[in-house]
Amino acid sequence: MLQIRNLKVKVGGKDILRGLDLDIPTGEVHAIMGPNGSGKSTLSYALAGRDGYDVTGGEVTFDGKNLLDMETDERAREGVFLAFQYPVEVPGVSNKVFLKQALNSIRKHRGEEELDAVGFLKLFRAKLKTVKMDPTLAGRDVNHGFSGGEKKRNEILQMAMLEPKLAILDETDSGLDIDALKAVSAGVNALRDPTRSILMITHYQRLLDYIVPDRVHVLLDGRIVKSGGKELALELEARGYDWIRAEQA
Amino acid sequence: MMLHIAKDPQPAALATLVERRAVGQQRWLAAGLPTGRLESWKHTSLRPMTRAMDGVVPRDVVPGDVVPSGETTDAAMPATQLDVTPLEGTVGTLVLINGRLNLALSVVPEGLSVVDLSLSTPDTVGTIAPIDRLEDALSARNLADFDRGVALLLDANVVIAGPVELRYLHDGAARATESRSLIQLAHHAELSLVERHLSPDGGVHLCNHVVEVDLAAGATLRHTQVQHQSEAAFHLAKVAVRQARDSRYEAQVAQFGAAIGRSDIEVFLAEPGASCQLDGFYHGHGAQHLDNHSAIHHLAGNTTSGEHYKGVLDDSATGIFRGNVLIYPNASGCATVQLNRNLLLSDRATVHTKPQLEIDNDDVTASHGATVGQLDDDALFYLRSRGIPTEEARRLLIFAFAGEIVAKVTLPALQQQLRDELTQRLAGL
Ligand SMILES: Nc1ncnc2c1ncn2[C@@H]1O[C@H](COP(=O)(O)OP(=O)(O)O)[C@@H](O)[C@H]1O
Ligand SMILES: [Mg+2]
Repeated sequence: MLQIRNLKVKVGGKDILRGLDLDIPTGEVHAIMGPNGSGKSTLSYALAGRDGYDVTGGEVTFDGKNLLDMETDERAREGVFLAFQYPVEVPGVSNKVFLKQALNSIRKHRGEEELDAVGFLKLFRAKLKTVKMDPTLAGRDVNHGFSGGEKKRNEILQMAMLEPKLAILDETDSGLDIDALKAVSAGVNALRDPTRSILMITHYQRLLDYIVPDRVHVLLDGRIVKSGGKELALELEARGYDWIRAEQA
Repeated sequence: MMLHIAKDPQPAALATLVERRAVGQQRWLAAGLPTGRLESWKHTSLRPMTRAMDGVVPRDVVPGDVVPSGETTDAAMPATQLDVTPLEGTVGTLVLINGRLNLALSVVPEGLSVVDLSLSTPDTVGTIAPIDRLEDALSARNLADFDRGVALLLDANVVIAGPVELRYLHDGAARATESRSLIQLAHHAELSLVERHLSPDGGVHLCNHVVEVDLAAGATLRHTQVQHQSEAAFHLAKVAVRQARDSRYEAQVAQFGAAIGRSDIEVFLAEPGASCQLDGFYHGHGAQHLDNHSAIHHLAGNTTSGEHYKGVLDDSATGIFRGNVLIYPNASGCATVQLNRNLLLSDRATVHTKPQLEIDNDDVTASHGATVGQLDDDALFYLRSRGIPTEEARRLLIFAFAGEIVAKVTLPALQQQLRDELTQRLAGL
């Protein structure tokens, strides 16, 4: 699904990703862990094509296509979804209008029929249940005045609606209470499917109790420096990152 | 700072209409077209208008010059351009061709008295739009020369059930018109008025238009003003409102058209309990110049006013907001809120904004502010990251910005028209 080769990204003139390699086969769930400032969000923004994240080297192949050649919105229509670490508030744009437009842009791209208001609402209500989101909240302006937890749920709601091929979750678990964490995990697990891949970026191994990954990678100073099975997450939780840094030296 | 002390316009203070017209004539001859030397015309030059309207609007008026009056021979407007289909939800439509009422094409609702000003003129005309200020030489010229328009008169306690439209159809053949209307509501009367200025042939013309509004105690006027003339045209509109006790004036102004469009609203809150709310939206593209002026005079205590204007400026368009709120010395217990927000879509677009508050006593609640910004990059990225194409995402954000004001237009058919119009304009159509 996703192959990243020697990816180098500069932000604000600073080298943040310095030759990152990562493979996520179709149908797998991978986790990236790493200390603050190691470049996790930079990776997710670079994959989403955000301005200011300058790719200075390397290649990214998504579903057989050159991802770096595509605009942000094209990437999304091709099936890349990023759940933001800090979802953006968009006052004045209703969540429903936004989601309907997004969904229909994607459906059109896939050659599927666009949903009318009735079809959309049916799907919307069904997905709300999956992520246990308050329907009145879900109908308000995009993330406007939402609490941190509500914003994260809204990201998962969007993901559930848009059914991406590759979902990148950037610290979707941080700041969630246990109920919200369960709801978010249920949303992610519902998406799990042999045709999709998921990349979870997290600080905490507790998320991985709910969404069990196939592989765990450690991102340190802009590179993947270690990969392993889910037990690696437990080891990181117990020992921190210094031992890996020491191994590197 | 320029505090023009406006007098409470008192009909009794002025004599007959004939005499008022003579005063208007003198004022116009003395002052001529406003220039940038006047504070309120600092950012709006009428030079492009005098160039485009050569021979119709004098470049420089020398005292003693004969001022050409508005064109009086209306060329018949081709039937294809005569769009007289009523807006859905309205109960009456008055069609004005080049400012002149065409009763045969109009539908007058019951309870509303309509006077054709080209035939007879109520003697109260010219008592509200002040003619004693240099800045307002255009109103003076209009008073001297107007030869067309309507007076709408509503008796006490009469409530017209739905909105009534004044549909102004302008063509290039008429070149310059001096039109005027008078809206006079007796106590506790209520009217929703939609005033739309359209140019079906896309021609060049100047519409110098004055609206006088006289609201008696407890009367309510909702006044939606859509300026949608051709982008080769010139629209200079002055709305002057006098409000008695507990009356309410609500304006929704939308400026889309004209090469130079100026909406100037002046409200006199003359008695306690009077209140007004002015909301405006302007979208300029190309080289359009859209000017929004207002002055709200809190002459009496316990009067309230609110103002919320939003502008979107693209290409090399210019937008202007200048709102003056004046709280007079003995007017205690007043409240006013004033806000102007602008979105610049191009680095060649310009906006001049100046909300201004002049308070001559302490017992007042007042706030005012202005912002000029660009589309939020983070929001744009967020929308695009969900698959929404860039142009659509931009449009969603612009609509999010404009929506608050467009929503103030309560007639659904008109609100939808404004949204469609904005959609088309944003698509560059
Ligand atoms: N806009 C920016 N300008 C300059 N430096 C940035 C910017 N965004 C992130 N950085 C820097 O890039 C590094 C990696 O940040 P980030 O990818 O957010 O890390 P993580 O998500 O792993 O905590 C940090 O040192 C951070 O300070
Ligand atoms: Mg981060």
